Amino acid sequence: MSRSRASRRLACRVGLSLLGWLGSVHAQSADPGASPEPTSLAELEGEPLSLTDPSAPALETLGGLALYGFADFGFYKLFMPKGSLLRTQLFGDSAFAVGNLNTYLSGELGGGWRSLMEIRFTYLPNGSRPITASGIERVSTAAQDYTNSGRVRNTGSIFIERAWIEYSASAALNLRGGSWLTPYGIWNEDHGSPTIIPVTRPYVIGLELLPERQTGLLLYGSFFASESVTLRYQVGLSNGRGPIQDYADLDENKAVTLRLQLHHHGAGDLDLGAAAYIGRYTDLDQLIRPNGNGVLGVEEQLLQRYDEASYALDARYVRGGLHLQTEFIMNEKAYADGGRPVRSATQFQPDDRRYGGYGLAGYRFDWLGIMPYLTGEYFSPINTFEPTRAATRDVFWDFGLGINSRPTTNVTLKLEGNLAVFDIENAKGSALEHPVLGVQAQVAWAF
Amino acid sequence: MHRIWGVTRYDQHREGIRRMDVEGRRLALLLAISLCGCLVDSGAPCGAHLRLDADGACVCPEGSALSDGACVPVVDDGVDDSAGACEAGAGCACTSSRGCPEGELCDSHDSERCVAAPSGLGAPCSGAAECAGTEATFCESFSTRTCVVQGCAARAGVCPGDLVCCDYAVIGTSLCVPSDLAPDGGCPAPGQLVMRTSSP
Repeated sequence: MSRSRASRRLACRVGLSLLGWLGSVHAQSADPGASPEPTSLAELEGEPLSLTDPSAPALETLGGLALYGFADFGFYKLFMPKGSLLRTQLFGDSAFAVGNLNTYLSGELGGGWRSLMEIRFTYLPNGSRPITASGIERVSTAAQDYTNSGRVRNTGSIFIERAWIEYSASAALNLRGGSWLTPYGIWNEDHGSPTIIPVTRPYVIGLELLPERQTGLLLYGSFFASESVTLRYQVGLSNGRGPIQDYADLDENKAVTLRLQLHHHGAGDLDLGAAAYIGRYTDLDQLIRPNGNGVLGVEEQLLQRYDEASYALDARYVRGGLHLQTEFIMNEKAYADGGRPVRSATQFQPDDRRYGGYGLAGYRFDWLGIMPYLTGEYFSPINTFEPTRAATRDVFWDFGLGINSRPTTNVTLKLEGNLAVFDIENAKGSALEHPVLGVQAQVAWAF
Repeated sequence: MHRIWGVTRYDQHREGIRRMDVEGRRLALLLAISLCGCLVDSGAPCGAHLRLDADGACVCPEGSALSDGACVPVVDDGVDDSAGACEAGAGCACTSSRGCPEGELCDSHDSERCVAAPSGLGAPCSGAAECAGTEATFCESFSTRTCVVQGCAARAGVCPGDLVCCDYAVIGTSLCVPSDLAPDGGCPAPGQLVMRTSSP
């Protein structure tokens, strides 16, 4: 598709423009002849152009306050052994589903200041199935709608995916404050479903071996090392991971994130990245107890505490229609005295080293923007999921074969088959009894 | 020149490149150092105070037991636990099953004597079939992997000997657990104590 056609199509979209700080909001059409066409959601989010998928759908940059986003709708059918505990996490019956519904509010504030907020609307927690002491309880958010004769409706909620403000002194020096997606790998920051080539992100990313987001400060910038090589750094200081990490830290230990990237433009585009994260997780309970003077005070009780270190490597090579991509991530978790969780009536969880990665190979043809692709995922943790099995090392493999098509710049169609196999002890009757098969289809769109 | 990371004016960044070269080396060194430091010792994944068991999990040190999320010393109740202190069939006096020979429980709610334990209790198992036909029909495969007595909640919380009745709604039954594992009525999670409301 030509860029001019894409721009004309994009020009039909309506954005909101904020006229000054006092803000009378009005609709504004994008100018087809404006700045070069961005190539992914991440660019609008302020992420560097070459870090994004070069073949990702295009969007228009709007001045002032920009409102945009992405959504996806799909169909899935999973084949799992009867009675598998996986059925508490996944639905075995085929279903249609509205997946992500994320909106972005991006504001150019002038003088080098800008902000971004991303809100995901979700049906959760309705239908969530946590396992509690009394069994599996499906959460219901049923409420009587007072605008509709008190008829019962299920309510939803929102996720604040990110909310930050940043100041840009130069391309080499930017400081961001707020809640930001942890800079590692390829698909943690650039997480829009139209950009993700498979139907869902690889399991090892969703597992958050590095926290998906952090609240704190992020310093970043980029430099030319030569005409074809660009370097980028990102250094973060945050609350780290925690039960209420978005606005409180239950210890004085702050987490540090470091990421380095290299982009080479020559015979194709090559991106290489490495990231490290070091932090402490603490969960506390508070008890109200009388102190020695007979006055009530608060006593903190440690529920869980561990130090963790995570490392990630990523590489992507795009040349013409060819797309090769891989990530490897490792997390080490060492529990503190008194902060080790119970595994069973007589056991505690051991320290854990979890690691995994994935590889993706695809080729995008010009015709309908079709890309056949192949994925392979690997993940290995200590078994903490099923206390009925020993705490030995489990190995998960997942293979996917699919087609990704972009008939227009803003719409992505996906069809994928998956096969998951597990290498574990005592697999029979386990949640990880293999094979697990799945068929998924999705339409994702940017708006 | 192509557009890279939003930087389009290459010449203006020549000086920045030289500075970045120095800073980049420092950051790379920091990353290399962090990669070399391993947080988890695979040979000792239980820290300094806990022991690694055969399952690869961590257990309390000798002389203590897990209770309410922490290791607590096992209290000596004054009964001589040594072999020979009370022989099988002797029906000797007791206050807890730890003072009884193997295969017997302390009938602490009634005679306060050691009595024969239910058949099958404590036998190793990996499935319910191995416990069938005994009085301990439930294979407790979560931690001990032994046959235990179930259904005590329906019997007014009555368990053999000094066993304690805990309700496990998550698995749809109630189990008789050793009193050592339920100090002060605190059943192993996620169990809930079922008060004994009837004499045997």
